Amino acid sequence: MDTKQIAYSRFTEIGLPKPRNDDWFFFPNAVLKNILVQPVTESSSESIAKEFDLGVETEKNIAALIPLIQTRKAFVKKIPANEQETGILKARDDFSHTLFHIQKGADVSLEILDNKNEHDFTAERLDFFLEENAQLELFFCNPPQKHNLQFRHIRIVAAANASIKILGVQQNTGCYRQSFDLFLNGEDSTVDFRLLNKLEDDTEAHYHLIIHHNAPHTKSNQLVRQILNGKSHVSYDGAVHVGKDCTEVNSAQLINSILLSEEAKVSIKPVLKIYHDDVECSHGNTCGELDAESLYYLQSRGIDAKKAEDILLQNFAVNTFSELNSSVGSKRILSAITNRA
Amino acid sequence: MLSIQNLKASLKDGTSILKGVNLTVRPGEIHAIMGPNGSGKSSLFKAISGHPLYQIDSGSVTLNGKDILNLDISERANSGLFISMQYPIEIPGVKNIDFLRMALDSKRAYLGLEKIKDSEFNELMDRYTSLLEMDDRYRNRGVNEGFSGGEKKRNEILQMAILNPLVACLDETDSGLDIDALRIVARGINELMTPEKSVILVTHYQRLLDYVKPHFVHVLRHGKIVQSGGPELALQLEEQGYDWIGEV
Ligand SMILES: Nc1ncnc2c1ncn2[C@@H]1O[C@H](COP(=O)(O)OP(=O)(O)OP(=O)(O)O)[C@@H](O)[C@H]1O
Ligand SMILES: [Mg+2]
Repeated sequence: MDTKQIAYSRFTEIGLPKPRNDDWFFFPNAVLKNILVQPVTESSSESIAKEFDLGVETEKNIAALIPLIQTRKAFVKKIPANEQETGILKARDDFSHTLFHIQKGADVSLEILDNKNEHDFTAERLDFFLEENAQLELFFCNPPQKHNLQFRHIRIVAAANASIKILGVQQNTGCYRQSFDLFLNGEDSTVDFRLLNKLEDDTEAHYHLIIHHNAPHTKSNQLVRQILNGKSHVSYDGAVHVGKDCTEVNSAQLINSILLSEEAKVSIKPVLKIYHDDVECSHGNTCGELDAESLYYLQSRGIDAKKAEDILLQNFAVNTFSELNSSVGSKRILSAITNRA
Repeated sequence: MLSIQNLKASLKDGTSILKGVNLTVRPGEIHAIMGPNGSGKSSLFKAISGHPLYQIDSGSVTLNGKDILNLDISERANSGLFISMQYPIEIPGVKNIDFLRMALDSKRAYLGLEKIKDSEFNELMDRYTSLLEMDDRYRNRGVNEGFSGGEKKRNEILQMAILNPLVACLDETDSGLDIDALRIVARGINELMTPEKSVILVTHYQRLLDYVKPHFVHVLRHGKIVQSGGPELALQLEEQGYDWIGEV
């Protein structure tokens, strides 16, 4: 069986999420009712399956399966050892699957652009396999399209000393769900995940992330911030799994939300699964309005209330990406935030 | 001229803090307000500047004849009121120099003036940072970000210098300053004093008043000014404390 068929049989096995499915708890599952999942017959991603384990047989997330089932042709790219590469990832079809094989010591920075198709339902899957010492930076900040329903699944497997950096700014969209499966399989591999949601109206952005610390000395950091207006809703389900025998693991998660309207909503579910003592994990979660003393201070210097608010919001947004080494992604993200304020 | 008449203010929970403050400060005058901890000195400044925790129950505050209590915080500031905070807060990520310029341009816009030119602003910055003996860290760091207690106070005075207010209310600017810094800041205050401006100093110590000589000294206690006098009152307070002053 090829990947497409395995994915389809796995999909029919697990089916659409039932009410009270933990992984889809905050998602408005009603929007899934009308989606139709059927394998397309043209081409297949068979060649991929032989070389890489995509974890399809045990996949629990339909958003990881649908692109495999419905894509016409997978896009596969190899970055040779020690090469440097910057580029753009852009899905052309409603359903797409992209796989990068990043070899030893290669350094890759990729901007993910939104699918420009204006369709009811799009789903994309991105796979990355990082060999030893490889570096991957993924970032997205383009003004998104208004899709009724959009899935993006990103799966990354990192070998020893590999580093993953994911930077994202999400602005208004329709209903959006992004899932991440990040495997720190080699010693000293790291992931730095920074996300800023700036939403308005009745938009929904849902995130499901699992970081698997499967080796000693692995390190992960999640910083997620949102500024929500209107009736927008963000949910963030960020899980950290630390495997047996994984000593000296370090993981941090910080989530800060600013709600600018009564009807905006944020739902947070941090999950820690640890099978080892020698683990340093921290997590924090704050939710509120802008700091009243800071607003007073700015205004007491003659800056009007609206401008003072803007300054503090901008600052909150920019600081999501502070202390990052300068990179293609960090520069692009910072200019996107500051230009659009 | 700042005129505070029978000002009563309370916290939003109803706790009464200011219980009828009367104070008139004419152009060219320096007033000192002293008083025990918790007597309402900082509250007086916060209340007249429009701090959101305080609610005005009665009384009036006018600046050059204009009622400022119905203005918002920034309008009061742009009309010429400046408060140097007892505990200046940090706004990391907003560069101090950008903040100063924004504040100045806000005031200029309020007064119907154009934005300040680069050269003019740089000249102001150079003049006042050298007057206050401040180095470049004060320009490029975030507002008060990582500043020591004394550095924050000095930065308040830099803001005052740049904004050039009619009435400057300095809340314990001297606490936290080392001996040299106190002298430098006091020199700054004196140099910025002109006949059309006035200063209200809140302090616990005579030390500052040796450098910045007040025309009037007031004692605030339990939310009221209970005693007023000349500079000699401060000396007497330093020797005898507050106990000899009766309640009114
Ligand atoms: N946010 C607040 N919540 C509750 N009480 C407050 C608040 N702000 C001020 N107060 C109370 O108001 C009173 C006056 O405080 P204020 O800070 O004005 O005193 P002060 O004279 O400046 O004292 P200090 O010399 O210690 O600076 C105090 O009893 C204080 O506890
Ligand atoms: Mg005080």
